[in-house]
Order: sequence, then structure tokens, then C-alpha cells
Amino acid sequence: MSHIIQTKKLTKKFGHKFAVKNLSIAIEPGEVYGFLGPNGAGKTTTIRMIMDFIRPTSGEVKLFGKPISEIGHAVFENIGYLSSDSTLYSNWTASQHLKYMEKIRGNSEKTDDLIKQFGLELNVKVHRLSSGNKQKLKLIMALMHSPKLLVMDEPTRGLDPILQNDIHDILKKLSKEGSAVFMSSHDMNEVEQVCDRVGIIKEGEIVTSQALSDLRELNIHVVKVVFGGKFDLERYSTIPNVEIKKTTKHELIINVKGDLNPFLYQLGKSGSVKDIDIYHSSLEDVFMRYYK
Amino acid sequence: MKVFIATAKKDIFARKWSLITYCIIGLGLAWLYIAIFPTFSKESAKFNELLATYPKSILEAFNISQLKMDTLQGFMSAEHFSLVWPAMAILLAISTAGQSLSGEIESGTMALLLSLPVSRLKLFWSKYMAGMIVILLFTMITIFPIVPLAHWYGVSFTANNVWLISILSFCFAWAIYSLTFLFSAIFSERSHTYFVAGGIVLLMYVVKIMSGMIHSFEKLKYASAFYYYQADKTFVKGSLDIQDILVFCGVAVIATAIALIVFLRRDVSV
Repeated sequence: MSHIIQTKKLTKKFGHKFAVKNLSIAIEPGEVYGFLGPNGAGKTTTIRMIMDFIRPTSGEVKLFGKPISEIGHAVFENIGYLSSDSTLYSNWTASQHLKYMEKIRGNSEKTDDLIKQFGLELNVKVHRLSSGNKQKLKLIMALMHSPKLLVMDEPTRGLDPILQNDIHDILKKLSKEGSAVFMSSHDMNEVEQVCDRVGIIKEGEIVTSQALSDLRELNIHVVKVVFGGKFDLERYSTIPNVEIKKTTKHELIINVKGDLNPFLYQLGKSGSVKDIDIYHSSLEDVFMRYYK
Repeated sequence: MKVFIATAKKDIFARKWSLITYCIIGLGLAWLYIAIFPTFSKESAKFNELLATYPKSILEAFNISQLKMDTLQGFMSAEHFSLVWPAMAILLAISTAGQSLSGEIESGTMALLLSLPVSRLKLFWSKYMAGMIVILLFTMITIFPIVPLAHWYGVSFTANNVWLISILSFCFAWAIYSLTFLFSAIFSERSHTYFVAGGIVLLMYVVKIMSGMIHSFEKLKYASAFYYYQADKTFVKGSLDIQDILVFCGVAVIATAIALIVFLRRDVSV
């Protein structure tokens, strides 16, 4: 089966500056792909190229197996788009927005269910709606035609946790139905909850694109040790796969990549361990490693 | 076609209050001039004498060289079509075209439109035609009622000239609209579009005045749209110069073609 989204060496330059450089990713049907990076890393530029708002300097975007430059805008019948930055017509009501969508895309049977699910007020002008309600409206507009691809730029920014959870449930349901989701986010917790695969972008370049389970299995452990007294830091810092994160008089926090045994062996020899806590690194820890 | 109609309708409805306001003012002023003309015409001989003392270059500079105040056409050419109507048409054309593309990009609503299964080509034409309809409605609503109003006030009048001034006025407004649409396709902020388009129109007006007053600038008049908008000749004498129409149509077609190419190729960062 062809990829829903495939980018090949996608590059965008603004003047002399690379906003996105040689970005190659592929997203399968039913996959939820999280696109992570701080502000200015190139996430929104990538999304704008996927949506054909801006054109790449070089490289190409394929949607549903065909280059976007060849297939035309009919392909957008199968794409839902949501950006927390995009705006609505302030003098229109939610109802007017949805009617306009239906005039362009055709009637949708899902609209009423989505309105009920989100409890959207239909006859209030958009400029009177709260930011949460505006986001609900954008979400309904993106979902009402059962898209095969949902492209979302920070979909839950500024939303309350209940609504965030509702959105996460919808994304999981869409994924089960075979739709692909491409979403950028700052929220690691959100990405961990809903995404199957994660791409981390740094200064316009993809630094890793892996299944979330693989990222977790990078086998990075965070170890927190509390000693009964003073301890010899050099004993641990010289172990090759150990990275010292934090030390206090009696406490040591380290990252151990790979085999834990050399560290545990040295720790056993010290004979003064009062407490120990070992856990797998979170996505945030992984993310921060790329951004050090 | 339904996409085209839905988007064009959306844009026309978005402009409805400004269109209604402009139409009421334009029609109200036309009504006012027609209403006061019977009184004014009794004193028209004095005005004609006064106008005869003006240098010909001044009258040409303000497009009122054909002026005879003893007819409704002459009176309205001087009072309405030499400055007020074109000024209103320019404001409406610039504001409509500026909002169409750069306005939607600036406000961010263009993202909503570009994410729909509508090609940029269709989007461009639906927006362009919506503006054209606004301009056409303004022209028709503010000029055609002159005939029944003149009849109502018992003023003798050549009705055929209304058709001619409507054609000339619409083509003038169309050219300004298309030129502004080009800047609207280029810029992402309305203020830039208004500034450049407004600046060019103002410059063309100054050029027209200067070319009439300063002999060495005479040939510059050909660079001004106001030179081709000969409302007095059209409305008073009933003579529509095909060259003027061709210039307006040429500017409109070329500006629209460039605007289309720009809009199809440009990045829209919304």
C-alpha cells in the first residue's frame, strides 16, 4: 500500500536560511505520527508544504502516493486540517462555517454527532466564542468529512485536559479506522499517549524518526541513587555508558545508555547505597538528549 | 461550479455593508444633484460665463473641458462624475480587492480556504468575480437610477448617455480593481496593498493635473487613468472613445493575468 504522506529530501529556504532541510518521512495508513521540535525548528513550515500552502525549494511531497504538484486540490477531499494558529471568520457563526464547509465538500452525516460530542454552540458569532470553542469548531471542520489524512499543527494548544482527552480519543478512533494522522506538538505527554511514531526535528532536519516503542527501547535508564554518606563521583563518571545528570552531597542522578551492569557493579562496591530508583527515560528525556 | 458560487457568494456577503453604504451615498448624491438642478439651471448662464474665463488647460486638467452647466449632463459631469463618483469607485475597488486576497492572508482565514478541495485557480476566479460583481452593482445602482430620477424631476435628459457613462465608469473601476487585485496577490498585508494601490492612483491623479498645467509634462497624461476617464465627453456629448475603453480593459486584463500567475506560484504562510 502506498504511503499516505511521503516527503523526499524536502527542503525550504527563506532567503539564505534553511527552514527545512532534506526532510524525508513516510506515514502509513492508520498511523499517528507525532512531529516534535521547539519553536522555529521547522514543524509548521513542513506542515505548510504538506498542505501546499508553500512550495518546497527542492524535494517533493507525495500524498496518497502521488506528487502534490500533479494530483491537484481534489486530494484535499480526503484531508482534514487543523492549526491552532489559523483563524475563522469572526463575523460568522459556527453554523455558517459548517454550512460553508458542506457547500464545498458536500453534506456530512457526522457533523451533528460531532456537534453533540463537543457541545458546540452553533449560533454564536465566532468573535464571541472562547478559544476552546473556536478550537472545537476547527476540529469539527477538520473531522466532519471522515478524512483519510488528518494534518494538525498543535491541535490541543490552550485546551483544557477534558477536551484534550476527547481529542486524543478521536485520534485513536480515526487511526483504528485506517486514517493517518500527522500532528505537530510541544506536548510530550500528548505524543506519548496518542502517537505510534515520532519524528524529532532540529534546525530543519529530522534527527530521528522512530516508532515510539523503539524510542523507549533506546534503553536509556535514569538512575537516582541516594548514598548514606559522601560518595566518589569519579568512580561512576568514568563508566563509558554513564552520563552524570545531577549530583548533590548524597545524591546522584545519571542516565545509563544500554547495559546497566557495569554501573551496578561499581555501585555494589561502594557499599553505602541508602536508596535507589531506576526507571526508563521518558520521551521528554529522549527529546532533550537531541536538543542538548 | 458550486464551489465557485459558494466562495463568490461568501465574499459578496462579506462586502454587503460597505456596498450598501457606498450605493446609498452614491445614489443619494446623484439624487441631490438632480433635485437641485432645476433651481441651479436658472443661474447656469452665470456659471457658464464664469467657466469660460477659466484657462482651457485647467478645465482639461480636471476633465471638465466639455462642461456646459445648462444641462443635467453638464452639471452632473462637473459635480458628480469628475471627482465624487470616481473617488467612491476607487475607494470601493481598492478596499474590495485588498480584502480579497491579502486581507484573507493577513487574517489567517486563507488557510481555511486553501485546505479545502478547491484549486487556487478556482479560488482566485471566485474571489475576483465576487469583487467584479460588487463593482458592477455599485455602478448600476448609482448610475442607472439617474434616468427615472431625472424623469421624476421633469429634467430633460439624454437617457442613452447613461449607458455610455456606465460603461466608461465600470471599465475605469474595473481597471483600478484589477490593479489593486494584483497587489493583493503579491502582499500578505492589506495595509501594503492599500498603500501601493492608493499611492499609484493618487500619483496618476497628480500626473493628470500636472500634465494639463505644465507644458513639458503634457505627454505624461497618457500614464494616468484619469486621462482616459473622460466623463464629460461621454456624458455631455454622448461620445464614448473606444481607445479609453481599450486602455482600461488592457490594464485590467494584464494586471489580472499577472495577479493570477503570482497567486498560483506564491507561498501563502498562514
